[in-house]
Amino acid sequence: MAAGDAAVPVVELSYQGLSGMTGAHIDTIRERLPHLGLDIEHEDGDAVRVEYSPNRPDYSTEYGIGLGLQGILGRETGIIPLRVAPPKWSIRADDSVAGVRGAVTGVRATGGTLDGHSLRQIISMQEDIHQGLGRGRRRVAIGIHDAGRMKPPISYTTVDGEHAFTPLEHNREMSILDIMRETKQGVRYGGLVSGERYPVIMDGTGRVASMPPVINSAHTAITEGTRDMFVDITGHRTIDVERALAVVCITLQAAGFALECVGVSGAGNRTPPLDERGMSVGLDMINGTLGLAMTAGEATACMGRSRLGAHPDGDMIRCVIPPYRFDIMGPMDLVEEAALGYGIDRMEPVPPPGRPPGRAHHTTVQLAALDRIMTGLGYTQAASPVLAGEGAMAMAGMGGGMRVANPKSGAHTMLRTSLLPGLLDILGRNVHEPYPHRLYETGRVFERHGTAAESLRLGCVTAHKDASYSEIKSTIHAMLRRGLGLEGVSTPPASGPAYQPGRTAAIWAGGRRVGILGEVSGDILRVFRLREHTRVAAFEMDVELIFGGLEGKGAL
Amino acid sequence: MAGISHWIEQKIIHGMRGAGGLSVSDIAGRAGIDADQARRGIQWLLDKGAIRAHEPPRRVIYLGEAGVRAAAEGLPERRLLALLRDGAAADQIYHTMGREMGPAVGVCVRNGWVRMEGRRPILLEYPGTIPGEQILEKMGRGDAPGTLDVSYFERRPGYILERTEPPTYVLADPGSEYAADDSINVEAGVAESYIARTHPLFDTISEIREAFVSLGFDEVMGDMVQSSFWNFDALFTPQDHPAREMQDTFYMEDVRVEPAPGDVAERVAEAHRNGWGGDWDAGRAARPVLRTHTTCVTIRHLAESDPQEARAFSLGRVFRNEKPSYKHLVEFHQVEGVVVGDGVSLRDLMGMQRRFYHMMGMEKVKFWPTYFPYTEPSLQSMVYNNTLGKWVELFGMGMFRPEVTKPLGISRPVLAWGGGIERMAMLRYGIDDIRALYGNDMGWLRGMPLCP
Repeated sequence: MAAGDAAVPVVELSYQGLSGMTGAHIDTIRERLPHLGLDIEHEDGDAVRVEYSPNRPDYSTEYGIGLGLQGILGRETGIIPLRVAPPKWSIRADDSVAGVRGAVTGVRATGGTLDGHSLRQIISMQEDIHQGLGRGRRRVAIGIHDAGRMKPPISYTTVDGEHAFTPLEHNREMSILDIMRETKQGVRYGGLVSGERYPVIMDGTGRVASMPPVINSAHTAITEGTRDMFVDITGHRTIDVERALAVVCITLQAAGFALECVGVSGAGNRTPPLDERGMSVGLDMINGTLGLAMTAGEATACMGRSRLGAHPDGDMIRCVIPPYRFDIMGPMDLVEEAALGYGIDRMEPVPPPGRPPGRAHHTTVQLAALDRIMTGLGYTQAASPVLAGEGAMAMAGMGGGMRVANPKSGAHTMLRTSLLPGLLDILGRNVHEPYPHRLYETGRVFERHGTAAESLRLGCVTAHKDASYSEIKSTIHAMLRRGLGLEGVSTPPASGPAYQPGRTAAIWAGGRRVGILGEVSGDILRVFRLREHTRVAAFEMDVELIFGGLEGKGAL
Repeated sequence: MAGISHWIEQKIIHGMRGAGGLSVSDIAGRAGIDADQARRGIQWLLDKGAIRAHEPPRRVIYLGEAGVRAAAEGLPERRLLALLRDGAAADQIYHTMGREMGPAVGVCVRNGWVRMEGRRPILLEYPGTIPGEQILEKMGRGDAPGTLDVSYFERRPGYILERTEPPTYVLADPGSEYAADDSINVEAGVAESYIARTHPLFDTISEIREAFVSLGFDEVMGDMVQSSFWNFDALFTPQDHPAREMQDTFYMEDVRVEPAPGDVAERVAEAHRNGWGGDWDAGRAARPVLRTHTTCVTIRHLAESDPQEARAFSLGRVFRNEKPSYKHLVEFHQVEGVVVGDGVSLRDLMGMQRRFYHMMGMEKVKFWPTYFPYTEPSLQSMVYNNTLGKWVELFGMGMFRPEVTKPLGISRPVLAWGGGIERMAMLRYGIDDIRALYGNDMGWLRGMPLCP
């Protein structure tokens, strides 16, 4: 189980603000936040930073989290309707935006006042949507403007690179081409609109308000004291921009603004419906999945605490889902909403009934036997990475393995083809420790024969001033003959990278060649920075081949 | 006799037993140690009175090459005198003795046995014994005391050589209690011994595996190089999800991985189109990756077997293309168990997990909601760590989304739980830098307790 999410988004909240929204004591809020799936990352006085799940962009501000807390605390339950007044403003997209960045929508928010705190919250929401839902502004970009500095109607069109306006955080007019070259945002996001024509949002006077998804105009920037906002949202698909719009709407409404719909038309766009959805889930499914025995009434109440509309209908719970909860895809999502509304902390774990034990994989059993044998022979287990640098492999005279297409570091360019380089590297980094050093490792190596081939190996090194072929051969004999009961162990001469010619042999056992042994050549030891008087003998065997020789013998 | 405890001292004492006076090199040889060690050990033992000097350093003389020859063939002066006695002419003598003739004549003249008439030696007296012959006889072939008067051979190089013999030592009191009963200083320090051992991380892994097995789970294994299909698509991870980007996942070059069966791939594609919109690219799904979790192994096992009821787990190495830090590694281990069955609920899984933690010695467990892309509902388990004095996030759990199970032909509900293993090993061994687990520092490995 792993989230598989590279960056978990973080939001900074004020306990006072949440307390104001919920009427709950700060201690209660601190205790309940994790029950919304929010991990407290850091606390500093009134400020608390929490990680929220990327599937809940409505938790990107204190306002959204406050609404969630109201629910699970039972202060305010049920769906929060978006109260959207009929449109006075409109956005008209012309056909030139199709194929460039064709989808657009927007909303107007009036009658509130931005202060420093709410301004930071809204900007933080905007950035989080850009990164998550917006996939780095590619899918969704949001422009938030001071509507008092714009004149309707709004148009969404394209201009050429010579068109000029004053970009945010700058104090002079610049051409779009200069903005692309000279501003931080232009350099970072310019690649998303590479072409001859650039999309812009213009107000009724033809003044540019934003150039999505790159930068807004300085003229319409929101500041502390802004009372009337216009939000434009652009992207490539209507579904994406309307989802982002729903999150913006619930957030601004909770921040004390009145929402006013914006009429959208042109280039296949529509006025956003912001509709609620209906979805049902069986009471059986809820109770069966969670291991609870709720009544329909109780389950309905749980949905309400998760801020969904719900009413019982026989064995079904009929739910109403607000537009910003697009993470809810099917009934199983409603089961989770019921669980959160019920409270995970109220769900008592059921002790597992008696059941016969399972079985470890046969390879695990084999490896455990090798562990017992090798430690019995005085060898300590090492743990090396599978990812190797070509340099490190080449140091041992090896290469030709499977390559990583996108390594970030020279240490991770390929998969090891042998355990020996890793073991030699360990020896080289431990020259200050008392000798002898006797180490072994079991692990996978990788070869490339068109298709990927993985095999399990046992590698082993002994290092001290008198380490020799005879010593390692004696170890092998003990391991194969005494430890595993294999017969027909022989060591005909062979050669291999890193091994000293004339002191290297193949290992045959049970009628097959299972590996190689020998003294590691002095040149290689110098490369791995071992001291002059230290000698190293080593072996490496294929685990499957060793145990293949045991088939039918019942040795394990 | 206290204080005879160092291994060098012990070896010397054992080596000297039953012998007469022994030099340093004799002692080193008999004790099986090198000369430096012997010298040091002898000094310690002398200081302690355990051994005593037998003979001080002494000068000895012995025959050089010329001396050895003279002992065998006679002194040159004796041979000259014999030739003169037998009436040999000067030419004949020179022919016989060569360059030895000159010095031999000199010796005979100095001793008044011969006089010179021009270039011809004349025998005056044929001595019965010559002092040099007596010296050679006394010396024999071995060493002779340096006190022997060998002035006869003065200024005759190669006859008599000398050297100084090192001192010799004997056990101070061969009959003493010490020598008889081998008693030693039982309180003295000794050389360090190290325990060969399995790696602490793998010890923790074995313990986790045993816990899963005893909870009724069967182990499954799978490749580390997987197709993107099994690692991502089959788990309903959208194709443009950030986790799939190059900076988070290792993609492999120049290798092929087995494609998913066509009907399975088509149903997965359909689920993606319905759930995430847009198109689904089979090429992206075919790209080989180093698995980013073990879930790809368990889900594939389930897709291939569609069991009515099962408990299975997968444990192994996973990879993330991240910058290593004290918190994160590029390679680490995960375990994941799945429970399949109609009557299994989230509370059952919570109970199983709580039992697991108890088996691992973690008593206080609680659960929080969380988010995983492929499970719904999803929970996070927290355990209380007494050393850190706080709650620590460990395994995640949840029920596989129908969007995951249905397209794969898995007909029963599947509950999954698991997570990273290194975190647990760090708590167990009190490690705060995850890199220590893979540092292979021999001092660290040798110092870790086997029963933490």
